[in-house]
Amino acid sequence: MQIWDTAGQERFQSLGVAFYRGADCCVLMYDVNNAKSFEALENWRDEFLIQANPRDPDSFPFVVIGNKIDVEDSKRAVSTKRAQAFCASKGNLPYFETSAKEATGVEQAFEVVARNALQQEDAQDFSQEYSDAININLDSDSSSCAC
Amino acid sequence: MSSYSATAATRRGSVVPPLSGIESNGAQNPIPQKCDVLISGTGLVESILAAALAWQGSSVIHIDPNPYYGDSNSCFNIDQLLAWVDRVNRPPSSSELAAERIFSNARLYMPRPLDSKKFLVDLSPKIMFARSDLLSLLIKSRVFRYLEFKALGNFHTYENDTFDKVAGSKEDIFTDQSLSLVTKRNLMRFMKFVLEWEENTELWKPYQNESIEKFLTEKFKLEPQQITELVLSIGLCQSLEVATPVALSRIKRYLVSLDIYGNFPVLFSMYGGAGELAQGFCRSAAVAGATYKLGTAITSVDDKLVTLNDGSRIQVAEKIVLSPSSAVKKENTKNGILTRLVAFVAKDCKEWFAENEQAALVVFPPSTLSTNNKTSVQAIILGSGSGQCPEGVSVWYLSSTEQDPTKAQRDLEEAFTKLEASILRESTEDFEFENIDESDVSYRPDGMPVLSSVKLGQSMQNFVPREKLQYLLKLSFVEKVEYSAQPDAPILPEETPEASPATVLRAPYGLSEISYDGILTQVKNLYTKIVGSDDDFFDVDFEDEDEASAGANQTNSSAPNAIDASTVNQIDSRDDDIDEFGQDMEL
Ligand SMILES: Cc1cc2nc3c(=O)[nH]c(=O)nc-3n(C[C@H](O)[C@H](O)[C@H](O)COP(=O)(O)OP(=O)(O)OC[C@H]3O[C@@H](n4cnc5c(N)ncnc54)[C@H](O)[C@@H]3O)c2cc1C
Ligand SMILES: Nc1nc2c(ncn2[C@@H]2O[C@H](COP(=O)(O)OP(=O)(O)OP(=O)(O)O)[C@@H](O)[C@H]2O)c(=O)[nH]1
Ligand SMILES: [Mg+2]
Repeated sequence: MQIWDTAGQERFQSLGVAFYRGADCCVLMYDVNNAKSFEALENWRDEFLIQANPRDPDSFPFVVIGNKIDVEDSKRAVSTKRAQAFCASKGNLPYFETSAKEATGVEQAFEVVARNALQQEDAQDFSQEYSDAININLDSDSSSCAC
Repeated sequence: MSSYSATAATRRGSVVPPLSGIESNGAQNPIPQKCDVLISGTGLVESILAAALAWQGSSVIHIDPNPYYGDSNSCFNIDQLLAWVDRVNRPPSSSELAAERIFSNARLYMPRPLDSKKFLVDLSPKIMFARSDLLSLLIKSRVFRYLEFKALGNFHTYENDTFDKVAGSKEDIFTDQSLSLVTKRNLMRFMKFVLEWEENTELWKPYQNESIEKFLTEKFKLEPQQITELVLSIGLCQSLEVATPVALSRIKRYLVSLDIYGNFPVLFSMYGGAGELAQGFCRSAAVAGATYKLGTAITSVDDKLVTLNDGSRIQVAEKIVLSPSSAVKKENTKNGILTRLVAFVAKDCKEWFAENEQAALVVFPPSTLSTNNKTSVQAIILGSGSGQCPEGVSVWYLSSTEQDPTKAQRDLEEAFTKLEASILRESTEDFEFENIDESDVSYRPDGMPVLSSVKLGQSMQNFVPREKLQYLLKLSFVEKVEYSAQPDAPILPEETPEASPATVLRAPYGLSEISYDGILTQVKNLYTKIVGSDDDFFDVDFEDEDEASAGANQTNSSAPNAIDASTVNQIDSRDDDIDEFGQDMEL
């Protein structure tokens, strides 16, 4: 399994189509203390669906994560309720709240991301009749992470 | 030795700015105001250069006037293609008069609208030899993980109205019953020689300025048919006139690439060639800290102060690199042309592919077409497994290095007609051979019956296809490429070990070569002009990066490895630590 971060190319809307291609799951992450980052989620979801062009856009697995919940409550700009309502309206997207800083909720979130991605991949493979791609890295260590 | 040291403190940028426009103060995050190197154009050469410089430690801003990656190497869906054809054919406005135009004469035929995203048209389809410099770099730089490669095993040579599959390996030659014993022996002797030709100077030195045809005829007593296959299909040379050492190195390139990943010499990348690789290298550059902004062009350059069309100004410390299409017209400089014909046809063409493969290569040697072609027409055929077309469809990429554009167009159309006739014949089930008996049939190593080509040619000429081939799309265009005095000769490193004094550097035109060979030399020539030498070109231990992230995982998690590496552990509030981690994650 490979997990790709946008590597800063999203800053000026410069993610190429190759970035989206073949994704089996898409994580939409925002900062619970920044309303704009939450409001941008819908655009990112649309952008993903346009670029990745999955066969069945309505059932494509997204996971929504609200990060930085360690920050003091007074700074909180997006309530859990509001986020959950958004996720429900988009086809019951799984929702998690995390703190990367304090490592809360991260594992649970990624477990669901991984499980949904594998499920999606299986569904896709079923229709794939051609030989798999060739691994050009001959001395690759199959146990190593390919993120 | 290096006359240049990057002004960037480290290759790990100290600031990873948040998403543009949504940081807490709400301000649009501007592009950095200074950098070491500004690159305009995201073709493969510029993109490898950006990644090389970013990992070397330079701060890089990489822009492209187009809203997509790839520049002259792009791969378009139908909507993008229609817009591109319009742009290519539109007469330049007064402000564009000085601008370089790489493409010309784009002609598109599309009888009905097509589902835009189901088709991808590659402006520069290329094949990659299994043993080649760029493939090694893809592995070393870890960019290969962003790409998917597939095998291409079948090389066909067109002659006498048939497409012979090339007997490229020793086993093929050994078992090929259409070859006489003497021919086999001569071929084997040559195969042994060519693998070590560089050391065997006494044999070829007298021929170093002679044609390969002469060399193979006189020194190895090879027959014209074997010479054609070796030089034009296996070597992918443009003609039999090619100088002996050039052809020898190209034939060897094929042989040493066999059996590295399997029984095929070359690979192709899915969804497009050079443009996909370019996006992989751009991602790598971004991971190393380069800033990316598409849809942005340079409006003026005042010494080292550059103004962009978004209004921002950038102080460039070292160099400005322009892709050919981002630069002004190159006056009084020779360039060559490459003419292409691309077609999506409603046939899967699996008859041409090896088992479990989705691609083939077809070569029409000089003088085999009724247009009396002077150079080869080379064709890459891709099936739906390439990700470039739906099932039941294939895409044909034909190219000609003929320098007379009218003649090139005629050669391509004629080769296209031959491909069409062939696929209609081969895919017609009730086609019966006339006047054929057992003695005309021999068997290939894979058990396939093969007809003697003379008989086959005759009966094929009599065959009139009952169905017409349906084209979904047909496109032809002309591309400016690097001028080459000696066709097929390798691109050489420039003899300028010193950094170039000029601030603005122009990246070279593309190459007419069908493989990726030569591109890395083009990149290193530019890199040397910027950095002073190519000693530290991608001199980064990427393995270390992996170990660092693996180490971080071991310390505090029990989650499965693959997931674990991306889980953000151990973050503390010190920014530099987080950035350190971010780098590992994004790899
Ligand atoms: C680069 C290029 C490649 C071409 N390749 C082919 C080809 O492979 N096969 C082919 O049949 N024609 C092709 N054409 C069009 C060609 O010029 C003739 O128009 C065509 O061959 C007439 O075809 P027909 O008598 O076989 O089919 P018809 O059934 O007579 O015509 C096919 C239909 O296509 C329409 N048509 C004709 N020319 C064009 C065009 N340029 N753009 C859009 N629609 C058009 C006609 O009006 C008609 O409705 C190509 C044109 C260009 C510029
Ligand atoms: N308090 C707190 N800060 C966090 C948390 N996660 C990330 N940050 C901070 O948020 C800032 C941005 O984090 P990044 O991980 O670089 O964000 P990103 O979305 O990957 O940004 P790009 O790499 O530019 O795409 C950094 O300063 C982090 O230290 C968290 O859970 N809590
Ligand atoms: Mg990041």
